[in-house]
Amino acid sequence: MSDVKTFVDTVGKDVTTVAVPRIEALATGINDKVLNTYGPRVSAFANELVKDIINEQSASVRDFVSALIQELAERYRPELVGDVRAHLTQGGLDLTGQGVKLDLKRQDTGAVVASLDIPIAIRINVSDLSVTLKDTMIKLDVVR
Amino acid sequence: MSIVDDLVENLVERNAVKLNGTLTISLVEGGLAVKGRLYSTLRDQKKGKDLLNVDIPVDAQVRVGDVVIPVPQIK
Repeated sequence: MSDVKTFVDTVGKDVTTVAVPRIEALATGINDKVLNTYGPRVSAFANELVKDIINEQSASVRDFVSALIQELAERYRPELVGDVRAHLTQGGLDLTGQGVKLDLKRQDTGAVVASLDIPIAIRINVSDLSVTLKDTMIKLDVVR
Repeated sequence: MSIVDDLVENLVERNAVKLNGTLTISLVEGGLAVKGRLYSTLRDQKKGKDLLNVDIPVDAQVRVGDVVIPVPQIK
C-alpha cells in the first residue's frame, strides 16, 4: 500500500505528462496569433491613428501659426537705423557701420521692445585702374 | 575780322592734338591717386606734319572725404 506522498507524486507526474504539452501548445498558439494577427493590426491601428491626428490637427496648427504671425506683424514694426561710412584707404574701400541696429518697436506706442546691434566692418579691395590713351585726337573748332 | 582772329582761326582749323599715354588710377588713404605720362603731339593737318611734341608727366592726388550712407528704411 502506497503512502499519500507517493500517491500524490504519481498523480502529479501523470497530470504533468498530459497537461504540460497542451499548455505549451496553447502558449505557442497564442504567441503565433499575437505575432501574426494582432501585431499587424495594432501597427495598422497606430498608423491610422497618427494619420487621423495629423489630418485633423494640421489645419488647427496652420490657422494658429497664421494668426500668430499676423498678430505679431500687426503688433511690432522693425526699424533699421544707423549709417554706413565709406572711407577710401590704400588699395581699397572700408565700409564701417555707425550705430547700425535693428529696433523692434510696438506699432501702437512706438516703444522699442528689442534692439539688435549690427556691427558692420567691410573692406573692399580695389585694384589699380589703368587708362590708356592711344592716338586720341583732339580737334578744335572756331566759334563764329 | 582782325589779324589775330584770322591767325587763331587758321591755327585752330589746321591743327589737331593727338594724345597717347597711360594713366593709373589707384585708391590711396583718403582719396585717389592718378599717375602716368601723356604724350601730346600738335599736328598740322594741312601739311601733314607734327609741329610740337609735349611730354606730360601726371602725378595727381584727389582727396575724397568720407561718404556717409544712411541705411535703407524697412517699409
